[in-house]
Amino acid sequence: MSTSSLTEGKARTRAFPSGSLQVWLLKLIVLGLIDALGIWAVAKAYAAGWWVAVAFLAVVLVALNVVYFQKGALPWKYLVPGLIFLIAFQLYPAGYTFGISFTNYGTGHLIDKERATVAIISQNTRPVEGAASIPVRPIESGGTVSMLITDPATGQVYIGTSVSLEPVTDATLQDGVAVSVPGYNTLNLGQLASNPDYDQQWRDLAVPYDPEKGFYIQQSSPTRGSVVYSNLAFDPETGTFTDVETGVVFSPNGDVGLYTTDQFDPDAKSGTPPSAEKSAANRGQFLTPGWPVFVGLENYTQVLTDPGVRQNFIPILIWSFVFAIGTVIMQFAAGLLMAVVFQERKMRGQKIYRGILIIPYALPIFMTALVWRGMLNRDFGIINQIIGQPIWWLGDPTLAKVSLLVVNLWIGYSYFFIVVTGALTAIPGDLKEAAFVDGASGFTAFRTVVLPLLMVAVSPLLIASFSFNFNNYTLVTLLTDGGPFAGSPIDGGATDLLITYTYRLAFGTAEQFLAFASAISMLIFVIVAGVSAYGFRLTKKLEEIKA
Amino acid sequence: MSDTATKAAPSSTGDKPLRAAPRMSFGRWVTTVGWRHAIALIAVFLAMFPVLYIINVSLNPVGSLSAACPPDKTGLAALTCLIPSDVSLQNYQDVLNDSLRPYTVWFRNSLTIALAVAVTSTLMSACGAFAFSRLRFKGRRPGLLALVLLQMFPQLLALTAIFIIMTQMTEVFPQIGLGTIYGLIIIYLGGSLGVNTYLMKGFFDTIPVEIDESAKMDGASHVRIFFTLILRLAAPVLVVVFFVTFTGMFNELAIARTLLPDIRNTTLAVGLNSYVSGTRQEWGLFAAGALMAAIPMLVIFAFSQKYLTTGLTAGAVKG
Repeated sequence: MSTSSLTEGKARTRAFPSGSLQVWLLKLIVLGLIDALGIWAVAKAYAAGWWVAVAFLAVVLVALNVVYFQKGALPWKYLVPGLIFLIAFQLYPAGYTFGISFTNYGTGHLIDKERATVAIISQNTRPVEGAASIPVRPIESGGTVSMLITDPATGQVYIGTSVSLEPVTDATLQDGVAVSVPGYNTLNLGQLASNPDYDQQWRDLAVPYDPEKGFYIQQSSPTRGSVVYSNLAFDPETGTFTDVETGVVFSPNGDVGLYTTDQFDPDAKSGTPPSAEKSAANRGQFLTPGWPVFVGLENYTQVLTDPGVRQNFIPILIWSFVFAIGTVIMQFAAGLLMAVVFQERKMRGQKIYRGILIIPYALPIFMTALVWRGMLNRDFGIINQIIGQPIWWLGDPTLAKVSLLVVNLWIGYSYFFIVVTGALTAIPGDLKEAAFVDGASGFTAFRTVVLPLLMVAVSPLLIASFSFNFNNYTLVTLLTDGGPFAGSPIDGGATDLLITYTYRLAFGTAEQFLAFASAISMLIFVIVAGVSAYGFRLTKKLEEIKA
Repeated sequence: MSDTATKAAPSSTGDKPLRAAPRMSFGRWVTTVGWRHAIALIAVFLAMFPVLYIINVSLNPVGSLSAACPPDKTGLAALTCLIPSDVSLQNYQDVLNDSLRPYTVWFRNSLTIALAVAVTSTLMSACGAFAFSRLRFKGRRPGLLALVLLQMFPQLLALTAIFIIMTQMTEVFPQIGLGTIYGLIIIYLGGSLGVNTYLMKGFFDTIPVEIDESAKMDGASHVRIFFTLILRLAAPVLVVVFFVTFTGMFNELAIARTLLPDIRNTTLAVGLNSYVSGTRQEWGLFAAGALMAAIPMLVIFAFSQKYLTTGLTAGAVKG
C-alpha cells in the first residue's frame, strides 16, 4: 500500500506512463517469488510424471515473465491472471469432461491398463499355507513403487516389480536384511500412509515368483511379505492371463477395456446404463478391474436411444425444464407484482417493507431450504399443523414438485423484486404515470408500454435465472434430494433435475458412472446454451420492436 | 443508464406531480394505498414466517420440531409456534461445542473461502473487464464470445473432471489438494471469473471513454486510470459482483461436498445438512447453527444493498 501511494505521487509529477523505479522493483520481487514457486512446482509435477501440469505451469511461467517484463502487451497484463485460473479450472475441466464422455471411464475402468493388470493379479491371490515370511521393503523410483526382497534362505537380494524379479548385489544390509539400494528411496510407514498413491501401488504389487504355476510375492506389512498363489498367471510376453486350473486365456480387449475370453460378447448388455459387464451372458468371461477406453458416441446414443435409460432420462429432462421455466415465471411475476405494489409515493413504510421482503434473498440457501424441509415434514411440520392434515408434501411425487416450486418462489422472488424496481426507475416517468394511475386504461398502458420496456431490461436476467435454476443442485438436494424415488435412486427420483441425477450417477452410489455422467453434463450444456441463444434472439427482436 | 447509476436505491417513483390532497376519504385510501398495504403485509408475513419459526426452534432446549411446536396445536393455534415459548441458548452452546461436528471450523472455512474468492475474483474480473471494455486487441471479440459460452458451462457440470484433476493434485501438491480449503478456493476462482467478467464489462462500457481519455492526456498511466478512475466509477458493479460471488460461494454445495467430504473439515453448507439428513433429525442444533451462519451474509448484504438495484440491472441491460 505504501509503495503505491509513493509511486502515485511520482507518476503525477513526472507523468511517466510506464511507472517508476519502485514499481519496477516491486514487480521484480513479486515476479521473482512467483518464478521460484513456479519452478519448484514444475519440478514436483515433473517428478510425479504429471505432464499436463508440467506443460501448463511452464507456459504460465513463460507467459507471466514475457507479459510483465515488456512494455506494451497491455491487454495481456490485465487478462493473464484471470486467464490462468479460467484455463486451469474451467476450460480444462470442461474439455476433460467432453473427453471423458467418449470413454467408458468409471467404476471398473478407473486405472490405466498397466495398473489394472497389476491389480488383477494382486486381487486374485490367496495365501499359500505354510509359506515363510519374507523380509521386504517398499522402494520408490520415479513415482513407481517396487519391492526390495531378501531371500530368507539364501540371503540373496532382489528388486521385484509387477513384471520382473531381478537380483541385485549393491544393496545395503542391516542384520542380514536389505534395507536400501542405490537409485531408489526406501519408503517408511509414514511416507506410505501420507501418500495414497504409493500406498495403493504397494498393496497392489504382486511380484512374479513362479508365475507359470501362479506363485507371486506380495506384501503383508511394510516390512514383511510372503509367497501367495493366484490361479491367474500373467504372461508379460503375450500380455495375456491364463487360468492355471482351467487353461482359459484372457486377452486384452481394446473395445471394452477388459481382459476377456473369446466367448465375451460386447453386444450382450444389461443394466442402466447398460454395460457388457453386467450381462449374465458374459459372467466369468472377463477379469476386473479394466481400464478406460474410447467408446465413441456410445454414452450419448445410450441416453437418447436405450429404452431403459430413456425411461429415466426423459421425465427428468421434462421436469428440469418445468422447474426452471416455472421458477423464472413465478419469481418474475411475484417480483413484478411487489414492485408495482410499491409504485405509489403516498404509501408509507416502504423502506421497512422492502427491508423485510428482501430478507429471504439475503439468507443462505442451506438455511432456508432446510427450514422449509422441516416445516413441510409430514408428522412434525408446522404447515401440516396449521392445515390439520398429515399431508406428505415431500413424499408424494406431485406434491414434492409443487413444494419445490413454491419454496423456490419464496427464496428467489425478492431478487426480481429488486431488479424490477430498479428497471422501473429507469423507465421515463411520464410513461409510467399513465400506467400506474387509473384502473382499466392504466392496465392497458402498463401492458403495452411499460411491460415491453421492462422485458428488454430484464430478459437477460430471466435467461440467466433459467440457466441457474436448470442447474439448481443445491436447492433440490437440500429440500428433496431428488426424491421421492419409485425404485433405486440411481434411476432418478420425481424431483431430480438433470444435474442432481448426474451428480448421483457420478458420486452418489458405490458405483461411479463417470463417463455416462459426463455425457449428460455435455447434453445439459447444449440445452442451456441453446435455450440461452434462443432467449437472446427473442430479446433482440423485443429491442427492435421498441426502437 | 449512468443517470440511474448515481441514484441510490429508489424509494419512490419520483416523477409524479404532487396532488394536493392532504386528507382522503377511507374509500379512496383503500383503493389507492390500502390494498397495497394489505398485499405488502401478507408478503411480509410470508417472508418472516420461516425465519420466526427457525428462531423458535433454535431457542427451544429440547431441539426437536415437535417440542418447538407441540402437535396438539393445530389450525391457527399453530401460529403461536412462531413466538418462542421456552427460551434457552442450549442449542447454540451445543452446536458450538460439538467436537465431532466442529461448527467453528465450518464457519471459519466458509467465511475464508467466500471472502478469498469474492475479493480475488472481483479484482481479477475487473482487470479482465477493463481489457475487454477499454483496450483493443486481436482476439477481443472471440474472447468475449468464449466468455459468454463459458457461462453456460458451470463448473458443476465438470465436477467429474475437477475431481479427477484434484485427485492428481493431491498426489503432487497435497497442500492444495482434496480435503483442503485452498484446493476449493482455486477451483472456485476458476469458475467465477467467466461469469463476472462479462457482467462487469457491460457496466464498464457505460462509463464514458472521455473520462479516461482526458486522464491519459494529463499523463496518467493505465494503472492509475484503472485503479483510481474506472474502479471508483464502477463501484456499484464491483459491490454487486462481490456480493453475488460471496453469496454463491457461501451457498455452494456440490463442489464443496465433493472436495471437502470430511465432516471434520468442511463448509457450513455441507456440515449443517448433516444435522438433519438421514436418520439424524437434530433440528435445534441445525437451527442455531444456521441462524449464526446467516450473519455474515446478512452483514454483507446490508453493506451492498444500496448498490444492488443499480448494479444488478445495469450490468445486464448493457450486455
